[in-house]
Amino acid sequence: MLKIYAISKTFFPNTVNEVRALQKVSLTIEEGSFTAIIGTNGSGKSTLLNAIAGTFFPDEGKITLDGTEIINWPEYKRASLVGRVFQNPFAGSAAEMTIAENIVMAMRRGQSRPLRQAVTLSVKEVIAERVRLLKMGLEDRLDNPIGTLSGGQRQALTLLMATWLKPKLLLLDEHTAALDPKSAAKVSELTKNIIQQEKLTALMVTHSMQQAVDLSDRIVMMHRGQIVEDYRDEMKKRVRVIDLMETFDRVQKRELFDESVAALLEKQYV
Amino acid sequence: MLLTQEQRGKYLVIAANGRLDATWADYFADTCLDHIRNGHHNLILDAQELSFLSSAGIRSLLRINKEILSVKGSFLIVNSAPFVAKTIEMTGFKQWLSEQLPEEISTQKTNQLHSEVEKTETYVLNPSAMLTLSVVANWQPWQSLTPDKTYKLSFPNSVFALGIGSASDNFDEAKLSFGEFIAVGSHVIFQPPEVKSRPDYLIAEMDYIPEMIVIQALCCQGEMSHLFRFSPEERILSFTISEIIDLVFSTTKSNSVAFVILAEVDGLVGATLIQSPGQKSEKDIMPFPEIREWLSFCGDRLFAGHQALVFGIATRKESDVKHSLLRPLPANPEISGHIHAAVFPFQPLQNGKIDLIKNVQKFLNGPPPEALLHLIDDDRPIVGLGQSSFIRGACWCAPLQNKEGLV
Amino acid sequence: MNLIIGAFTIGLILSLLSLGMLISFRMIKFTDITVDGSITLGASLSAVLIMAGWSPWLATLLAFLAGSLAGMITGILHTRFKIQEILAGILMMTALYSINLRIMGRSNIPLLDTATVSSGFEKLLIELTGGEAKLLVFGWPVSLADLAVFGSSLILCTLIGILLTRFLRTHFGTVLRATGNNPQMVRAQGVNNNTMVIFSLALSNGLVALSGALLAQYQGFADVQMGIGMMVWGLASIIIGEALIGKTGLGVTITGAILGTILFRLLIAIALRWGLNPNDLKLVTALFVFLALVTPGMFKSMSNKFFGGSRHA
Ligand SMILES: Nc1ncnc2c1ncn2[C@@H]1O[C@H](COP(=O)(O)OP(=O)(O)O)[C@@H](O)[C@H]1O
Ligand SMILES: [Mg+2]
Repeated sequence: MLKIYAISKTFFPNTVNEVRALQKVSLTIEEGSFTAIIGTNGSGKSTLLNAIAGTFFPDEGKITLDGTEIINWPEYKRASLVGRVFQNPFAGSAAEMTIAENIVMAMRRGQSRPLRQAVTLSVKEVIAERVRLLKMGLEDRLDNPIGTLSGGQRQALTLLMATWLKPKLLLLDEHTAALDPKSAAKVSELTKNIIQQEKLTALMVTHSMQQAVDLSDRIVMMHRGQIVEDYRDEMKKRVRVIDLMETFDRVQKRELFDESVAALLEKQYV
Repeated sequence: MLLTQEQRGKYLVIAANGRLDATWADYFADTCLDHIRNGHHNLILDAQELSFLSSAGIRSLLRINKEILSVKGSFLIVNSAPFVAKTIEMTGFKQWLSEQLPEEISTQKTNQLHSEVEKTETYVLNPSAMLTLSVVANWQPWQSLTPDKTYKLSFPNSVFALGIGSASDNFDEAKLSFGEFIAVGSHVIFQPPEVKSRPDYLIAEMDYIPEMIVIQALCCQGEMSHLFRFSPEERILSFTISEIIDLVFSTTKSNSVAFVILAEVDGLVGATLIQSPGQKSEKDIMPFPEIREWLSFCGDRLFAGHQALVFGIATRKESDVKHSLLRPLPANPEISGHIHAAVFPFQPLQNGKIDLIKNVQKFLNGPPPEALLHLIDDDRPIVGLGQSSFIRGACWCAPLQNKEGLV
Repeated sequence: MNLIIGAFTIGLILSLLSLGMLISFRMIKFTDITVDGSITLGASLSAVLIMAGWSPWLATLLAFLAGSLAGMITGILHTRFKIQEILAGILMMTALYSINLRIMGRSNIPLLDTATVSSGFEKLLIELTGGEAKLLVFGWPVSLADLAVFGSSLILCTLIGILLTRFLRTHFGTVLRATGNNPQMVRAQGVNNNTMVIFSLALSNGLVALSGALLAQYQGFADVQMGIGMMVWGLASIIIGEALIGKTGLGVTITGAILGTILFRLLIAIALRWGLNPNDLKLVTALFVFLALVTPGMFKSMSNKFFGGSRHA
């Protein structure tokens, strides 16, 4: 489904601020799988998602999606295949426009935008029907600007928008991180349901190891721009939050193991 | 709920004011368990101001009682109001109730809590006991391995050992799984050399005696001569491993010793194999960063609040026991040693003179060990983590006698 | 009465400018200074063509297209060459100054006794009234020519207002409006937001040039200086419109812009009548816009006061 071959991205190359955000990352995502990406802050998770979504072009490497080489596609073109929900609940919708107008744009994601009236009564009925399933009472507020809603409500709608047309790949970047715990739980639940019902292929960055364990069927751990661990299939079924913490620990320990430690162990380790 | 404590001789009297119900049960139990951890094994609950006791409260009392039984302490409830007394009686725990304070209780009250073990207490187990040290296998990093450098070691009751070995019974399998081990009287704990795996253990049962293929082993045979207990005092909050070793030297009056420590951890510093040395090709030195594929270093002082089972061998400069498996401790270069530690979740130890093997058994019957480390004294300037240290516990020790005249 | 009809007519004509600027400043949130140049472009091109004997309708249409082209270039300068919005606008405006001079060949062209877009309407009125030169409106005599310009401006403006509203409600128009609001979201919906910016600037400046063409025909001349300060006037009109009836919906916003422009014109006419020095007009307008920008709450509360405060943004 999604194949990433050795992509690299360096910000501010050849300066003191050089950040090697991705270092030859390769990853293959199977159709219908739900993969969680975890990792310390700044480990390159968002950068990886951005590279897939086309927010910028990686310095090197290849990405194919559904058999098509998309590395040279601009972001807006990839949107026909990729649905996205961002960490910032305000990033996925146009605040001054109504709920209906926002959704109607998502109903033609990656398609032509004809010169026909967008929000008609019949379209509104269709929208209301699906918005009702969110059980947030938003179906009665379709004509309100979406900016008047809470972060949780907006994120739920953004999720609905991203999946209205079934995307080949759904990208979720810490989409519950900025929400209060209750909304986060609700959006989390919603994510699970939509992905299951629509049999979506999804890639989710999350800061919550519990969420990774509960929702996904594969967990990829990143550190310093590299994938350091990949729990899948049987391994994923067995893995618990504490195991992930240990893996984090181990990765960090490895980091602390520098030449001075090597010298220390040479003297004392027998 | 308000809890006030008062030390009266060996007893700790806890006055509870309020309702012992579901809301407060955990707080109450945790406070009491903390006291037990800190060495207060004789608790008296003054229930005069206790207005209510629910089943959740009873459950918390049970938790406390269980912990106290495991360290052979005592638990009493005094001054309880009729309702509370009735609840306790009807749930079948009448034995906890007492009309008055125990007769031997001290009339002297202090609000300053101190444990029953105030300073180190020493018990002589067998003044003439000695351990015979032998080095049965002598692999040193990072020599290549051949079957003739290995040794099949079995662990009867009288053996204390540490080193590197595998539980597999033939060399071809074993060479993939050599890792650190520690053996205390037919209880062997070993760390399979893989980043993700937990330590495993072998215990003698019926006719079974644990056996390992070892590539490196310091093996001591015999029995322990002394036991001493240590516990924090006013100024000393923890004991570093080199301080404990000094105590061992002075207790045994010997320049070469072996010791087993069972103690609550303040922090451990050490390293563990994460790949079996059997997989290594011909190369005696291991450069950085390749060494990171073979050894994992703790990176931080770990396992505070856990309980560690430590076995170590230490010699002073003057001693005639010398071996390249014994390395100088940077904290005190006069001393050379080799120490391994297995880490368990916390379980309280009984106060006073306790039996080594019984307590090791108790630990291995509880939750499984979490780690096994070769202890390191990290003396790097500024970033150094220092030595491993312990809060309170027991140390069994004996002088060494040199079997093969190791030099 | 002549004064009022005149103010209304200019107001209606300039409301096309305001509508154009509504698209750039409010919908895609692009501070577009091209406006000052493209309004003159519309005026000069249509004047030259009409003088050369072209149909005024065709001339006006070409003015619209020329304005669109100018807007498009500004858009490309910004999106393609990553030049800041304001600088891109200034570059285009400066270039247009020379272009306008080239088109006209001199700094101003009078349009005397030529046919205009309202000529047809005027003929119709003359036939209807049976050859009278003046008509009584509320008891005041008004020349048929003035009435014709007013009428045709009203019709044209209404028509464009309705078309624009309907356009902005289509799928395409919806995305256009979202572009200024959240370009990232627009990209995530598979739309090239840069294309939307270029298109919007083209449409916006087309309307501005159209307004310029009509203005030249009404005033009877095109002048290379006539665009100076137009952007600020348009902005002032939009702000007045928003303060008047708010911006709760698309229709409301567009009507607001039109009414705002007319009201602004009336205010100017009255001020001039009361003796405001015409030379100070631009200073007063600039001060007004400055106040409106630094005290955003002021105008909002004004509209709330007028309309009972029941509306919410
Ligand atoms: N647009 C950018 N410009 C410069 N540096 C960036 C940019 N995006 C990310 N980085 C840097 O790249 C590294 C990885 O960031 P990111 O992928 O956001 O990490 P995370 O795993 O927390 O999502 C960080 O050090 C970050 O500062
Ligand atoms: Mg991130």
